[in-house]
Amino acid sequence: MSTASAIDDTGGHPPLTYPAGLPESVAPLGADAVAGGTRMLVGALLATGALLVVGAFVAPKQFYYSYLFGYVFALDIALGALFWTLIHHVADAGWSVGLRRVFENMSRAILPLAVLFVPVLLGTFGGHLYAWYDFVHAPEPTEEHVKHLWHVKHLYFATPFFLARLVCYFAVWIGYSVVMRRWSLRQDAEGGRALTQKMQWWAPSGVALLGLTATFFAFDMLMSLQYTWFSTIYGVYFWVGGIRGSLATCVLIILALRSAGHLRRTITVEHLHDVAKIMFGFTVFWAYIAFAQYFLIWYGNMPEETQFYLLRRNGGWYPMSILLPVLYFVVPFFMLLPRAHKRSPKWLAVICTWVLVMHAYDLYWQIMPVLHPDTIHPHWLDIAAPVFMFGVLIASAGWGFLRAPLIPIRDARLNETIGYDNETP
Amino acid sequence: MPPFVPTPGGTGKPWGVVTEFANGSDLLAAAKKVVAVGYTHVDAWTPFYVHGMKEAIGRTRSRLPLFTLAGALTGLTAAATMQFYFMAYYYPTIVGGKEYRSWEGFVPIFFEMTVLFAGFFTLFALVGLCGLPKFFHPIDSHPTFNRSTQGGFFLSIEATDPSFHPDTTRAYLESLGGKHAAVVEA
Repeated sequence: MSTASAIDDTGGHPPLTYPAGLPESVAPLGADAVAGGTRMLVGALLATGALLVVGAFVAPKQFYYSYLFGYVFALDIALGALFWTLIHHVADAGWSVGLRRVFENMSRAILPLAVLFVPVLLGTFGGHLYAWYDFVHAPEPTEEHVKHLWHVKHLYFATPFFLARLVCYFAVWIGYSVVMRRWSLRQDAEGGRALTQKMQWWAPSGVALLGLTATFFAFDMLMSLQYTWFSTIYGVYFWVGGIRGSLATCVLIILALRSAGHLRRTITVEHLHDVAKIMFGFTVFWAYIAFAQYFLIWYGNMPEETQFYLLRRNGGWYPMSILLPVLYFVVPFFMLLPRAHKRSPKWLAVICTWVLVMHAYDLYWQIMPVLHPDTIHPHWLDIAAPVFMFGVLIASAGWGFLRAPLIPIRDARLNETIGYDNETP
Repeated sequence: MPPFVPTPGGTGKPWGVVTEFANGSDLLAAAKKVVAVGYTHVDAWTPFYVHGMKEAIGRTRSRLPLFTLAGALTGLTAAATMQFYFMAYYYPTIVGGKEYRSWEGFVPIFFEMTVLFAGFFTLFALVGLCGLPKFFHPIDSHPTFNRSTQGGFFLSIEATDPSFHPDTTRAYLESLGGKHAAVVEA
């Protein structure tokens, strides 16, 4: 491998140089098949993006909803990756040091996604996406029962406050993702324990802020599609979807790198086993959250709360609602239950693909009934948008691997993660 | 060291051969040879973890998870059957103005019963699989075996092994450098 590779993420610092003699399996990806694949992916992205632009003119309203669906799908996964980066620092995790770089690279996608947020804003302030836009910008209604709603909502959805919130969210996400990755890369070049301690000092505040911002992002962008409905656990619902999606994406990226011959002795089946255990845990957690939301609304049986589920009992949405817990909880639960499945790359590839597809299904089920209340109307944009956004995520992560070693090569806990074994005391 | 160590109240049949090694690396080398020759019911007894021993003699997967799964399914089935039978058929009760067969209201009990039975099955299966309560183990008859918690490294081949023969197995372990090799009465 080359002795010195300069990267761009130095933020004004002199270019970083990595020590010479890195093993091929953890050195930054060279000009091999993976780099070619990344370039091909960017080409495919441009084509899909062009399709989306065409869709924006052909079917404007459908475009905005599909775009929001795809956007949230990818952003959720990127936020999950940022969360995992931070939580590994909070927990001072030694076993997962090798995985951290994958999560850091996945959270690089937040920056391009911040740019891609513009069409969502256009849809919001064009009045295409959210019914509340027309409601809160109309003069105060005279009917007594809507009066209170208007009073409560029009301040929260006032444009300056709304935009200020969004700026705060993206500032927190971009700040933490960029800073965490930059420090990690600087540690690759400089070594030393100080940067690890710095990251650990900053990570807890990041987890707290990320929890708050993700929750309110879910409130503003997804829950407000039906602005008269509210659910306090909705932010957790959004968050856990991202957690599961990011774990699945991380495993898929690792399996791809391993199949290309990288990371063979660094991230072993033992690490995959542990990641699969976490996935199993969050599968149960998702079911807990989803059912808790449904259960309390069902039991209370109040019109302003039940509307969310009543809307999803119309036509084709009803079987989709029934299948959601079966396909997103029961099937992954039993697929992840046997130990052999958690330790088999083939099974993990199947399971992770399944979880990703079902994560998209879940978000589709949350967003699309607002546009088509009667029944399911599939549209080609519903496939193009998530594929494009997920491609942006994978391309961002891929470029990250081209620019930096595949693991934090000078982390002090590296000997804990290399040769890590589930059964050795 | 007598070649045959009797156990008080024993059955007369051999339980297995036990032998001692000076240190972990000798034990590991011997274990690899023993496995290569074809013995399968091999066990190592050491005061601390010897790296490579797991790979050398293999490890048996416990049957405990199967019992846990069986318990979980038992609890789930019991919860479902009992609730639907009691609440909807045997003694129909209106709760909160909901239907009799409201599965949503039963879910917490499904969960609780699943966990409870899985826990019980796991605990009792663990006790059963370990053969507890057990106040005595044949290997404790071996005169020097109590050193296995301080500085002794022991290798045992049990009589259940298909290729076990009291005299040849004992002689073979002695030829590998084992001290105090003895057949222990079951």
